[in-house]
Amino acid sequence: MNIKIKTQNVHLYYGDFHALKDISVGMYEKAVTALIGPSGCGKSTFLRLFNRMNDLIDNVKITGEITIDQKNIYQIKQSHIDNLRRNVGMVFQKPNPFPKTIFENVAYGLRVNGINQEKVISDQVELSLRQAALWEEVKDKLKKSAFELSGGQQQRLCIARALAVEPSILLMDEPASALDPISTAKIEELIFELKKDYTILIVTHNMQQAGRISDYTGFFLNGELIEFDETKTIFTNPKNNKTESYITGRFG
Amino acid sequence: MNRSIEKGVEVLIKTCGYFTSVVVVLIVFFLFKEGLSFVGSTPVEEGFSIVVSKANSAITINSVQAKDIFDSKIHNWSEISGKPDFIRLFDLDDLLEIFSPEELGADFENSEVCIRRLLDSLPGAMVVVLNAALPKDHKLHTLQLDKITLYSFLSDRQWFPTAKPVGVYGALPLLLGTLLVSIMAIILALPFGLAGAIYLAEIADNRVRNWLKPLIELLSGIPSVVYGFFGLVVIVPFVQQVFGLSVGETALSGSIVLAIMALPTIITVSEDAIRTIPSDVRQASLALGASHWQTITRVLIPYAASGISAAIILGVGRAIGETMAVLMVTGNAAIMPHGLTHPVRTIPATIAAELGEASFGGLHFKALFALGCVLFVITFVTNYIVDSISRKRKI
Repeated sequence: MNIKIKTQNVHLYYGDFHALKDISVGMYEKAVTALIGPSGCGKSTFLRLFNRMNDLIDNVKITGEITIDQKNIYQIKQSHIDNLRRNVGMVFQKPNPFPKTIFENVAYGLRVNGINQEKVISDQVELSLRQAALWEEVKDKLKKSAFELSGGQQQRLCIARALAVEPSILLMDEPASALDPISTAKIEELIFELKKDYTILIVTHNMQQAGRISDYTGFFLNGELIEFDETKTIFTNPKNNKTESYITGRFG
Repeated sequence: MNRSIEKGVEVLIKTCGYFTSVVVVLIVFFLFKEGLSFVGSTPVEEGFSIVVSKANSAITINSVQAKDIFDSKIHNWSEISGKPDFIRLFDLDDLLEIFSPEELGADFENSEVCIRRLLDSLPGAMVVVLNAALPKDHKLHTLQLDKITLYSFLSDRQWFPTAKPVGVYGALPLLLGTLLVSIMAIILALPFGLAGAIYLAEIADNRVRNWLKPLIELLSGIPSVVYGFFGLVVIVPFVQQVFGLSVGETALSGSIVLAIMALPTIITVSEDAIRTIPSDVRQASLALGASHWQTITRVLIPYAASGISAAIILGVGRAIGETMAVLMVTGNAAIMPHGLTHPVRTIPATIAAELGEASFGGLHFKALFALGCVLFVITFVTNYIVDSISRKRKI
């Protein structure tokens, strides 16, 4: 398998706070990589490196090299950040649909990127909703407000919205933490399906979830990447004591 | 012990709540009671009667015609669908000149006979006489005047409540003046207010926001008379020069002053609405490759729609109800508005300017209350419309 995303000696500072410390890792294409660790360990910050979401925060300083498909994403023109973000979709912790109809939520990414043929848009909306396993549930109420859906449906809508602009990478920041067990199971099934086509990075608090859905796992602690390996290895035979303590539930 | 204190506080709060609600209802009730009692009355000055011959008492005229008669613009009964005959006006002083004090009697006890004699010789006469100078059970005929109806009050185009002896109560010029000034004020204030809110919430960096926002909030605390003064000294001459007018006190000056007054409210309320949008939503839009501007216009503003419409309601409320500043800069001409660069008078300004000269409980007094009711209804309807629009927008 190819390495899709690579970081080399990456440091990140929020003002004086050293949030990520010397992280060098490569993540594989069309695989699910789980990022685990206690709260405040830097895993969400790490995730947000790859669509440059950290840029939105004042006083952030990033050093080191971050590449996607061998291209350094921190040495592109300001105007190409939009392209980067189109290629790297993101799903957030809480479902956050826009105050629009179900259809327009999914179509939004296409419209803001200058696509305006209605046929193209409606085909892509249907495709994305099917990919997100939501089409059957919403096909009769596409004109209804997205806020009328349940929490789990809203989250799948947000996934469809991210898929609509055809990214190659999907960043998921605890996508199931605000959902009930049944919705969580649906999201996990969905992630399993999606990894055929997408490179997925998922931050999770839930150890079992990481074990169930991921191929690779990285364990973060205090801004350091303690261990990165195949999920099997991390969960059965971790090399680092801290990893073992965390996984067996001794802290975190 | 604790429980009884809790119980006591609960009862106290409940009582205060009931009391407040009752007071609010009573105020509205009082306003409408006074205002509605105006409808159905005859616009003749209290304590006076207008006596005419029997034949002429069959004619009913409206208050505008009556005013024209007393302003000597109508001279002949034929102009008001009577038989051709000159209208001759007499008042008590004229009677005293025509008849000797003996004929009239010391306390006008013979006034009925005298007036009848006058009408017999001059059938076209119109005698305005104090009720006190007439016997209680006199058989004289009085001029028939249209009663004031809700429709005539809202649609008549003249406002002369102090005309004697028949006042003209057409609120249309005031109504249109209010709407003109308020709508223009909102048209001016909304884009600037929204732009200011967007700038503060999304574009300005923290340092700028931290001193700019308190400053804007401070503006809403300035008394309106100060704004009026500012308008009089700055805006009025400005409007006068720019449009080359002979007077600068115009509807436009009022709108500009009102817009300035409404800005702080619109900015702070909309800014709060935009700032309280979860940062997730903003990021989700940016993460899809949308630009900052696309995010603002297509996601953030729709998301904050209900907050922004609350800002509009507050702004409109201020614009419609504002009295002092408008009174000072709009020129106060109670005539049909000819345009933005002409003087107008708004309803609140009318109430403020005329309440002092209206006799308590009189017709003019009631008319001002009726204007208050109209204002109440306008505000109520605007709130309802904006509210229902924003509810529809909130998909």
